[in-house]
Amino acid sequence: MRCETCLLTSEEGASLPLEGFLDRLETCDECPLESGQEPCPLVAVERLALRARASSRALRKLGNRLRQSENMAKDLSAGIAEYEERAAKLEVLQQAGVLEANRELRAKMALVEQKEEAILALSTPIIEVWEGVLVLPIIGNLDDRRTGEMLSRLLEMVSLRAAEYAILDLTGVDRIDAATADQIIRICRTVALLGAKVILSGIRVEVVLVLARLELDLSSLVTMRTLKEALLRCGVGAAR
Amino acid sequence: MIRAVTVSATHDDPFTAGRDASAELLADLGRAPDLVLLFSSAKYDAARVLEGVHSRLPAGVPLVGCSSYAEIDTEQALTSSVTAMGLLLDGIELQTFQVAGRGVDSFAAGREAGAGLAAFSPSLVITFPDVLDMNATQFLLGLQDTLAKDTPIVGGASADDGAFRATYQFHGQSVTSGGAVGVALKGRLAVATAAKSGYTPIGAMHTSTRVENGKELLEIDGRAALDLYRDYLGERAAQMPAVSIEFPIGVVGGIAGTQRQVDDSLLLVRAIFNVDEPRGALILGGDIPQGATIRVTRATKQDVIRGADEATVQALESMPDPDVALIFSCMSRKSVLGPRFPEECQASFARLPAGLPKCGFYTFGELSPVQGVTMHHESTYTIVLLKALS
Repeated sequence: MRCETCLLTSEEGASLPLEGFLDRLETCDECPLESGQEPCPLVAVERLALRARASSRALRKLGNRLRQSENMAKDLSAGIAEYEERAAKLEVLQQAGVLEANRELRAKMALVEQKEEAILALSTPIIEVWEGVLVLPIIGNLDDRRTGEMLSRLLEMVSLRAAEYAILDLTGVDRIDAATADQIIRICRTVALLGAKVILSGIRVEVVLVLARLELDLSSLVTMRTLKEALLRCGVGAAR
Repeated sequence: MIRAVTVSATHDDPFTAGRDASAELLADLGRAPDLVLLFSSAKYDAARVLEGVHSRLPAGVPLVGCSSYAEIDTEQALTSSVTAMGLLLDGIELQTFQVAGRGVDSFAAGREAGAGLAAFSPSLVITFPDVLDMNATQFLLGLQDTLAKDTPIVGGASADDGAFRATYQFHGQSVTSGGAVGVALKGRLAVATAAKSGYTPIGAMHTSTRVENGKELLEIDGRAALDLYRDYLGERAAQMPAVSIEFPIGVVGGIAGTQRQVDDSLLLVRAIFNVDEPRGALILGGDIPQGATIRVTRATKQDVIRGADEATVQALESMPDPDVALIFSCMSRKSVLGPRFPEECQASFARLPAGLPKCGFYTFGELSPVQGVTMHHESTYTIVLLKALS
């Protein structure tokens, strides 16, 4: 197809932007100047040279942009790889951290358990104050675990020492709740089954009120105001 | 009015990259520039780049520049490019200079450069020293010792790809490695500068109790500097020395008696370029005096970007309508930002007038005045706005 107006010689052709000029030129495949049917004027050569330089520059710019985009993509790709590497390292560190934390936690828990055992042992001292006379001073709250420990040790001692008396001294108990009171009564009754006589001493008013509210049969319990009286009752003072 | 054009060319062949940059510069400017600033990615053969540039640039056009960690043009920050700014200086005079390196005393080299410029009475000095060869702090002090005290000195230390092996300086048709090059401008020229790091201190204040050769920090509070620094890094100490570039040392109040007046704020940041394990020392990018109050600093990506933004706002307050902007930002900032590094320039450029020609590079250390006194910075975004006065 031949151009209606010659791109190479007309003002219209000269005013076209590079892309438009090249588009039009591409479709002009019957150019009489190109085929030599018509002589090529100097202005056409000048304009073609000008357009060639502009094309070269545009190509250079496009090439630059393309290469810069490629670089940017490479940088991003390297950045992603770096991030992934860092994330993997962090993951390893985190896992190591969790394992270490778990180890520490387990060690701490074991330590706490050891301490609890030690505290429990210390909180249930059973003293044989005289031959056949055991004293168990109770201080603080009694829970199931402590009661169980206390009962187990007291039974063991009563059996081992063939104790005649077991004094549960409550001087160190300021207040008591129903559950604790029930535990104490339970200890007394169980120890009595071994044949030992159980004496409760040092019972404060507040403790008595709680025991009374339980509506238990306390007739078998021997109670004394103080530890001293309880010891006298066991004949400790008389023996001395 | 100063007219300027910046072009960036990227090509596998360094000669072609240099040639394309030069050709594009001439085409955009429409004539030969009065001065060319050239920053070439360290990945290129510097000599071949310069050959390419001169294959198109008319003979005699003054040219200064250096190799770079990354480049900055009017549109963006980019890597692997040859970036050149051509300036038409509107009657502003210039004088380029070059001082040899390799074994010379840095302060003396600065004095030599300053002495050569003193008669010229410059309004601004732009320089690109090689910090792998010389001590930039001492070079700057030498320059300041010979030039008028209020002469603004700007620029950045030439860089390589982060390997800290060799950097290059361009001066006219010569390429050297070591020493410093630069250009002084004189005339009806207004200059506005700003420098901000965005880094914030972490932990307590410490004292540099033992420093050797200006840049080797051996002891902090009487302890091996490396040990104390590792305490700050915690688990990340395993990534040293690479990670240390992200946790520079801040000098509280700058350097008293030398480069600036005492102040309580953190005005100077020193990047850690390397560590000396046997001596337990941190090797800094610039000088730090013994007895200075220092703090370990760090920055998030947002902090770094905010620093660039704040520097730009500050510079624009002094000059809202510049003709040209030059930007010198530290390579450590690019390390912190990673693939997001162009964002600090984006934040800065968004503040600048549309179409303002810009040029610069990512350095191994920056030179910029703070409160009227030029300092050698690291980890800092520095911006220089220029305007020809009518």
